[in-house]
Amino acid sequence: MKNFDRSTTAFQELIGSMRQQWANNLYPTLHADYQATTIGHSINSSEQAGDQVTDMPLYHWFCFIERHYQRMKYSDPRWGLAKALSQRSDGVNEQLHPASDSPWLKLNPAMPIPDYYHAVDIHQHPGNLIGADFDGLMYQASATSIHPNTRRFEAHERFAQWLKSHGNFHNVLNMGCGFGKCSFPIAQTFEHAQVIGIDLSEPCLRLAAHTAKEEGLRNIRFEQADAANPHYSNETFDLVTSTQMLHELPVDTIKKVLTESYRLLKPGGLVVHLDFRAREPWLEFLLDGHSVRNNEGFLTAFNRMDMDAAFTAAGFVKAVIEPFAETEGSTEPSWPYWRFPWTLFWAQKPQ
Amino acid sequence: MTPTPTSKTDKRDEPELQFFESAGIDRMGQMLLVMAAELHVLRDRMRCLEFVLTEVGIVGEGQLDKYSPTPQEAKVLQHDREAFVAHLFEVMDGRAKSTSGRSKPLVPTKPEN
Repeated sequence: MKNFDRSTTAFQELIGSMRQQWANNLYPTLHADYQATTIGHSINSSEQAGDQVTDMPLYHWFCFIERHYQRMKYSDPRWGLAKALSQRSDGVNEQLHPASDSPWLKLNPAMPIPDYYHAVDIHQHPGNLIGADFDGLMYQASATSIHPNTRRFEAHERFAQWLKSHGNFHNVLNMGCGFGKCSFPIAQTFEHAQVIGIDLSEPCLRLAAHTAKEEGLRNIRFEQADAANPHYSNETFDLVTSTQMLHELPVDTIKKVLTESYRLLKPGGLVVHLDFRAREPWLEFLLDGHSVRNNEGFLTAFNRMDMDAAFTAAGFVKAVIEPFAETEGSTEPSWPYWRFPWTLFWAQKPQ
Repeated sequence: MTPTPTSKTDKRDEPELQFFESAGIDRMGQMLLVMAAELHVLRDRMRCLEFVLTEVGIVGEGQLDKYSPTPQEAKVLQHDREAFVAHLFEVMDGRAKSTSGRSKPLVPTKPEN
């Protein structure tokens, strides 16, 4: 909340506390109520799971709060992020415009923005990360409350450690890098690698490049490019990654991303996309609802997409789809709190 | 100063999502959230102010309770009070909604063949 006035900071902190209460108190109670209704019943579909709770007042409050804490965070007319950032006059936005020869940034203003990117403002971000020059800052500020019960960016640090346990990489492409929250841990973990982060959002890339400069990171660069149509030569990278990108894409675009992932990889290289996948009716029901409540228009289709088949069609021999713990113990059955069902989708390009 | 971003999706004329049987209940819920936010921000500022004033030795215990505003100060308080009421009431007519609009599933939700 650096550089916000005290009232905006207090308001945004309240939103974070609401999110925490929602995840750590409302959700476990709702889940317990749901489980109580399913004793002796077999639940085989998300629709059946939903039928167990849709008459419960708590379920309606659960949905209401999920929608509105996010709405207030961005769009509150007094202290929302959009209002607060549009009124900043401290020169921070201007600092995010590095020189055109910056070693950390390469923009491509002529790059067409895909139609799907205009179809919906993902997770209620006004303008979908390309509406204002402070969109990177807004997304960065918003990201503080996305994952309760974890340290900030813990999931991305753990992801980098997972990558380290699967190889020593030298040329890395991080698709959908946003403001660099995943790219930086990778660059710091693989000190001798050259990491390129790509994204559609110029404001996010500017912030990422600004941060890289501030941090003195010399092995990372951010470029404006479409993950479904990246202009890099065949077999350029030994690691292609993304985090939380696939569920924000239409199915056909995901297939293109996988095909491009294969083309860009050197033989023996690894593709690893970290995203969400609900594996049972209750979570599927909640994710379907979340897609509506939080403007995640492509999430429902992604969750039902046959990723094994998509990897195979892209050229990979076999994909591995496995749960990912964004914090210690979160994939244990006894984990009581709300969490997104983080999942790794990965494969190795044949030698 | 940069303009507040607007949605490219032009969905802001749609009504906000409804979660209860009546839209009135949803708006009441939103009013409660506004009240909670106002209350929290006020308490936060008051506590910070007390910290500051105590640190510099300006305010002693109980002094705030005895204070009577000047006419100019009363105008400031009136402005704040009216802004508070406007913030509270704007949810009643459905104006309070996400500026990013709302989403529907954009592609078929059936499994792929």
